[in-house]
Amino acid sequence: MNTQGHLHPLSILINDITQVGTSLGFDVVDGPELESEKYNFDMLNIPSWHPARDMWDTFWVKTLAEKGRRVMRTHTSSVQPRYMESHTPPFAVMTPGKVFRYEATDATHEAQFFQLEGFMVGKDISVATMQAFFAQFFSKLFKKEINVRMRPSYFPFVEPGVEVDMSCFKCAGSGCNTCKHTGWIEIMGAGMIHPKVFDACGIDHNEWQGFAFGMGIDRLLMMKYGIDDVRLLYSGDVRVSAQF
Amino acid sequence: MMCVFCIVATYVCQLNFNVLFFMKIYTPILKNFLDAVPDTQTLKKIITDHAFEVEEVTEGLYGDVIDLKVLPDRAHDALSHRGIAREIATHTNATYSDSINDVLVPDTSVASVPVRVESPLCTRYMAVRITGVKITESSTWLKEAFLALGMRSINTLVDLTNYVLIERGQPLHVFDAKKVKGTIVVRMAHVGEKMTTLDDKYLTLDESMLVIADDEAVLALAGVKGGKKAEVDAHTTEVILECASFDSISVRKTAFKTGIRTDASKRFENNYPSAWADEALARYVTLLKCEQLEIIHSAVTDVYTNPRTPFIIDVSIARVNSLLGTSLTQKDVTDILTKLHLAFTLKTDDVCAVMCGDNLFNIREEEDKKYTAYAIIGHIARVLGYEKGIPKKDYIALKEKGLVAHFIHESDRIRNELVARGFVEVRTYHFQNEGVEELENPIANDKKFIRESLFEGLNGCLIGNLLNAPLLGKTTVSIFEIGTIITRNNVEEVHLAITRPADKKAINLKNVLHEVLPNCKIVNEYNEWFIEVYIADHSDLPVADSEPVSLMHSVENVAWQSLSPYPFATRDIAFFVSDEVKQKELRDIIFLWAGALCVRVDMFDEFEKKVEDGNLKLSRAYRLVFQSNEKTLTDEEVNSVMQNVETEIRALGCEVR
Repeated sequence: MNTQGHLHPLSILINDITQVGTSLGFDVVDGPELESEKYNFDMLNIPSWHPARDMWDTFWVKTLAEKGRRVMRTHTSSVQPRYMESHTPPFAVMTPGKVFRYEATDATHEAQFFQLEGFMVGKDISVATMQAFFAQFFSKLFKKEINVRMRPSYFPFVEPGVEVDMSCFKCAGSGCNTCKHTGWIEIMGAGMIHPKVFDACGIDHNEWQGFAFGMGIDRLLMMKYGIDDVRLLYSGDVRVSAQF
Repeated sequence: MMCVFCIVATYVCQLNFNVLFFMKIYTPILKNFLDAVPDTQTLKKIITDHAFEVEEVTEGLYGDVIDLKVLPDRAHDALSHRGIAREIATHTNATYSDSINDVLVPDTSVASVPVRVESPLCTRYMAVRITGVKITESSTWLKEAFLALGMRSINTLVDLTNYVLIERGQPLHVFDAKKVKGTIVVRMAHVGEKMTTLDDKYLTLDESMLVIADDEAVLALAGVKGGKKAEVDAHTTEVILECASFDSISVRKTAFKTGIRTDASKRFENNYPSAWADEALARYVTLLKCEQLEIIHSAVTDVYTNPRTPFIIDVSIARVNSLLGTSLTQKDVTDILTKLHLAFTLKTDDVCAVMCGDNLFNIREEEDKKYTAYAIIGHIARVLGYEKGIPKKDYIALKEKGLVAHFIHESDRIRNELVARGFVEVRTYHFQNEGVEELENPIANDKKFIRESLFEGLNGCLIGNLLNAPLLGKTTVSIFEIGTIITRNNVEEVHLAITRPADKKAINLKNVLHEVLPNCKIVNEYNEWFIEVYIADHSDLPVADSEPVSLMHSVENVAWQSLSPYPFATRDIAFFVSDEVKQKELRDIIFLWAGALCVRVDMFDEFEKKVEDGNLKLSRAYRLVFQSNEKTLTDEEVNSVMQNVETEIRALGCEVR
């Protein structure tokens, strides 16, 4: 009978991302999942009183007096200040990691999922660099020519912020179910790193500049293979991995 | 109910905070601000490309409704028709003007409203007494607009407060003047002070909450919700119109504490500019006068303690180009600033001094002013448009090849090793019934703790997976998980857990570990069938120092099959293979014969046997797995398929055993 085992599809996609990322000069790291409020929110220009905090439904962890308030990180963006305060630019870094959101689960919502954070900082990294990078990244990941477009958006830790769409990897823009017949797929949030984040990390924002992006990995996986329920990915059911 | 503090649009749910920034635009109202309103599809494209996300467009008889999601940094000035009209003017040839030059003529016979503001959390308090008002049904134009926007029409007095809110963003409130005793005082609530809201919620207040009160009691929870005490009713003939501004953090905290979030509170939370209050007040009075000619009003009381003043920020054109990757000239940049309605002066060839006021800029803290140049560059980028305005470039990497963190290298290396030995990787949940680190707000009672071991998750799925082994073409299933846990000493670690069924023929886990991770630290061991080991720290300090490992797989063309909730059935068939089919892919052929109900065919045995005439005969045995996505299969259904398969095999000249 069959002697070969199977990988979990998330491991495969995260490894694909890692291969593509490192080939484009990005280092791949991760930080803690049980995170302090400081790295998850404060250093990312999301002070406690700011309405923008409502953008994340947060799991709070019972506090140890000496450690301050702690959360299950709501995004891998928390790794950005951790990395930036301990390294000197230029650098390009990706963080595929597990994140948590306090929300009711259904076929398209999970309380835990994977996110890819990335950032690139140098002397002349611009919005144009960011756009060029995304096109390269997705084309390599899907092994075909992918176009990207950007629209204005807002995230407290970038300025300006954008929403990134990629041309549909299934139908190449002609319209299909995956892209809801628009030819485009909303794939990530991104932007130029906010000078306040640089300041918080001790990096001179007049000297250095760069972009950051965040993307849901589970959603990408589900679209790529047509997986119909996100909860299956954490069910421990071998029938999921067995298909890969 | 008689109040703008109630929920205006029905789709704004109080508890889902994500809807904080949703807004419906009724296109006819845009005409109040624009000389020409583009058609709705053009509007949709312009708004999407240059400003905000458009959720939906609904066409109507008298006008269309555009459902959009204002970005949080613009919720102070753009959560209104006025704000959206300004945006449209920026990105089209339409001219924006706020042509409402309403000059109020007070009547000295009407007493003005005495107001005392005792807290700096009220940044402005305007009030005017209006007499001769009537409770009437609203005019057709107003009712049409409300119908289109999904708002409920109540009466003219109340509807106009809601109308001014959606038109301009300023929340207003009307009190029945006869029920207000003495002076209107804006103060902190007393501990334990009581209040009943307009929708009959009974609140006990505390000293952190700002209230509007008269000499007797609380009239309203400032910026959040009106109270019963001075509610407008069928007999109201005189009202006090409140047009005020409150501290955004204070309103936000009170809204959270009381669980009341309204269209008014969301404007105040987002820092609606207090400077615009006088226009809104004048607008209300003028509109009411159009509806009820006979009204007269007092002089306006205006307590305005701390006006926000515009400030000047230098923007370097070289910096704009460096950050965007563009090559804009000075004229390009100043043209865009003009489109954005921003006043500026040229300091040098490279530096524009830009006047930053309430439009576009929502500065909450003094120290944030210094970052405003980036906000201006952001506005320049979206006026340019990301699709057309940003030049295409080639990507140049910082280095030839990146590295990965040690735990990533190790995890992927181990994955390859285990999969090659037949293990199947799974992932299970992070929150469990037992552990050390506890959540303040668990999603369920049995998911209160962060896992300190992979045992609970993996053990929980082992039995179900064993039963499913034939679906994988296996007689037994050995599984593994690599995941993070938190130790009792609050250290985050990456662990590997491997497990296999408790049967004697199964793989020896210790031997596997010895090959894959020699000298590893075993953290958990249950008999012979479950071992958990430490792989690496999941470090606080992100460092990349290892080569990436490529996972061995070939999955590009997976066609995902939904998992059936129904049980499967297996059947085995063994036969001596005839000479002519020896070389054929019998497995695939059987799979075809077995039809749609058969999900898997695996050969599980093959041997050669010497028969009486001295020849060698080849015997093969196959296992067929049947399952439906729609029902539990009966024996008859499966057996009938097996009969067909047998017949076909015989037809090939094989001898079924």
